[in-house]
Amino acid sequence: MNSSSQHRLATQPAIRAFEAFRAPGFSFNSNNLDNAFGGTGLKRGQISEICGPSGSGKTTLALNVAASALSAGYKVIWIETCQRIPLERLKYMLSCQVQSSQAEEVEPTEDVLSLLEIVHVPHLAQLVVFIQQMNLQKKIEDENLGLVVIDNLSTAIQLAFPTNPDDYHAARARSERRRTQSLSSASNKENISPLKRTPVTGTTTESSSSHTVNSSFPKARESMKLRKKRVEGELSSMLSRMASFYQAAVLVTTQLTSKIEPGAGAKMTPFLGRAWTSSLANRLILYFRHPTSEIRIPDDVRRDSSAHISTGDHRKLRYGYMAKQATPNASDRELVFYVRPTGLQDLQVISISSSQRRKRILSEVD
Amino acid sequence: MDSWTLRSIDFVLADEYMQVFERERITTIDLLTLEPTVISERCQIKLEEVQNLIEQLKKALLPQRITPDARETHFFTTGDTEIDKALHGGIALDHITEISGESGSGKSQFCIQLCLTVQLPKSVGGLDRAAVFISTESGLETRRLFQLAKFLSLQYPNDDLSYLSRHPGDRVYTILCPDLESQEHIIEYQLPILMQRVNIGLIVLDSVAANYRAELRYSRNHPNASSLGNIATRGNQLAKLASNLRELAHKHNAAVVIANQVSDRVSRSYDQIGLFSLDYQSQWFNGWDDTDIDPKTPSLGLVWTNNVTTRLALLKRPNSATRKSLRKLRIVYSPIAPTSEIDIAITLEGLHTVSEDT
Repeated sequence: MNSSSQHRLATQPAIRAFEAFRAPGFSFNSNNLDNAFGGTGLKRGQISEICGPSGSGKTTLALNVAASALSAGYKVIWIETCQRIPLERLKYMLSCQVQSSQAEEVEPTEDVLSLLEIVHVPHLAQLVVFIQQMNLQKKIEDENLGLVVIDNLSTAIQLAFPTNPDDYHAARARSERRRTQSLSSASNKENISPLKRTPVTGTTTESSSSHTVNSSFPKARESMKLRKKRVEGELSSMLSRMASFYQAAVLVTTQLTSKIEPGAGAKMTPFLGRAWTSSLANRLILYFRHPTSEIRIPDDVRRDSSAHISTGDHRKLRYGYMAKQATPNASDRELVFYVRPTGLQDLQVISISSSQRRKRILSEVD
Repeated sequence: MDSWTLRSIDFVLADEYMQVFERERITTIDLLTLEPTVISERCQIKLEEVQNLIEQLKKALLPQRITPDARETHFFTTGDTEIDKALHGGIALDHITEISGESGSGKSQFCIQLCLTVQLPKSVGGLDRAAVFISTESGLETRRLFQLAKFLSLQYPNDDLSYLSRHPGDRVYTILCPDLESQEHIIEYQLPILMQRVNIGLIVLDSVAANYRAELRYSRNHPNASSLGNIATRGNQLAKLASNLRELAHKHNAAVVIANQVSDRVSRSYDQIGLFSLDYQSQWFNGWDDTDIDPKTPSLGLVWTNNVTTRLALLKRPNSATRKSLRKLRIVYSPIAPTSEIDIAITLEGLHTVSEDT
């Protein structure tokens, strides 16, 4: 195998790319989300990420999009890393979904489901090989491919790249230095509350250089952190190639990890860092919060309860904001949803002031 | 070299390669993503050999594509139809289900009950398969097992459960793990062997937290170098544990139910800055939030949470109005079922929902 072929850009007739670009995206079954993703939902040829804690709705949204793609007659490849695709829910969504305008008649669910292929990759190495294979094979093998879902990517990466305790010290030292620098900057004052900082009693140095604790390693051996960064970048470009080669939408779900911010405690932050986000078209962050007074829950939604009633409206609400958008149009908006069996139902869109927005932005890991 | 990846796909790497890769810190992912020339230089192996090895490795790692009709999710009954309904089927196979709660909340009871229901005939929602009960605390309560088995046979009068009621322990394998080292060894090496010999439908781990809390101490309020290192190490071990269990669950289409201890939740007041703090967000995925009377937090932190597929919580909550303890089973999150809460009771007959007229 010629190693340079890994890096050659995929070529394709421009007309196909243009068609895919103009074609309606795959709907999330939510107007607000479809708008946030460019107007009609998840667009083909792009990589998008949904990032959020357990139970926030990542898989739900991925199922919605998969149902949309299947209903529109496209092939969907669902890649599982640590949990099975909830097929019953997908079938339910398919049966509920409004028929897309491209289909001429209603297809029975089994026929539509036959367009779905599931791939089980408990280890990152298997995922890498699968994507490499997709990028090498002739396009005709998966000609009708419209969507690839990876659910989820963070667990697979975490397993392949265990945290090195030494990296932890280095990261803390770096964030301490950054914090010292940012405290003196006037524009960020509202972000930090003047709390006492616990002294770090580790082996971190006071040096202001950006070397990691492992800088004494010979160049030939990367630290775990650098390796992880490199592989995140590789995955990013491999998926870009795949998205572009097949003109398919790629949707990746990821989880949040936590990092200790001195004085502020543990903060949740996206698992994948900048090496990954550079090729992303869209990044949706899902999260939870108690409803503020601005939230009005309509009576019919309030009355809507299954046989098992949950305590408190706040358990049924989900929030989202676009940390990255291909077509920036809603970055100062907070989307509010209500959880229904069919997915996330639009409830409200809240405008947030730019200072509020800054406070909410999750800091990204390097 | 992450040999467990290779082991799970039954790929055997020659010893001389293994040693070189270990020495040069080359992992499976490196073999797939680095230029073969780089690997060849660094390890002093001929380029053709490296390329050959990579080709073989890729062939072994390439996953199959599966069609949906081969992928129905199977369940077995919890013994209570209302709980099964809330879970949209029962306890799922090829799935990790966690049940957390205070001591006395009924975790072990529930686990013992499941060790019996998994043995039930398929006609009544069981799997007719064995169970393995891995205990890190005081072992399986056999007296309770026998007691529950008797009542179970009364619950299904049309089926001949006389054997189960008389010999409920025949198909429940128990293992005791007194410390972390034995726990890891048992799960990584002994459990797979057991599952190859016996048709096990349920793996119970009661509880996952005990050995980690004893041995890898840390304090969130006073983090220092060694405790931060412990958090990192613990996270890695937990991820590995979950991966091993998932692999077994998948290979044998078995259910994994893990009991987890809880600690007190420290309630703090938050302003805007705290929105993405772990303390705030965790109110939705820990099972308890600040509106609960005596909120708790499952042990083992975020890494563990991220590896649990379905999280259930058992609440013991004193009801000040009637001075009675109302118990609840909460579905905290699950890809299969929506979040919900059910009133339950734990009686001689086991853990079951409370009917309206009780």
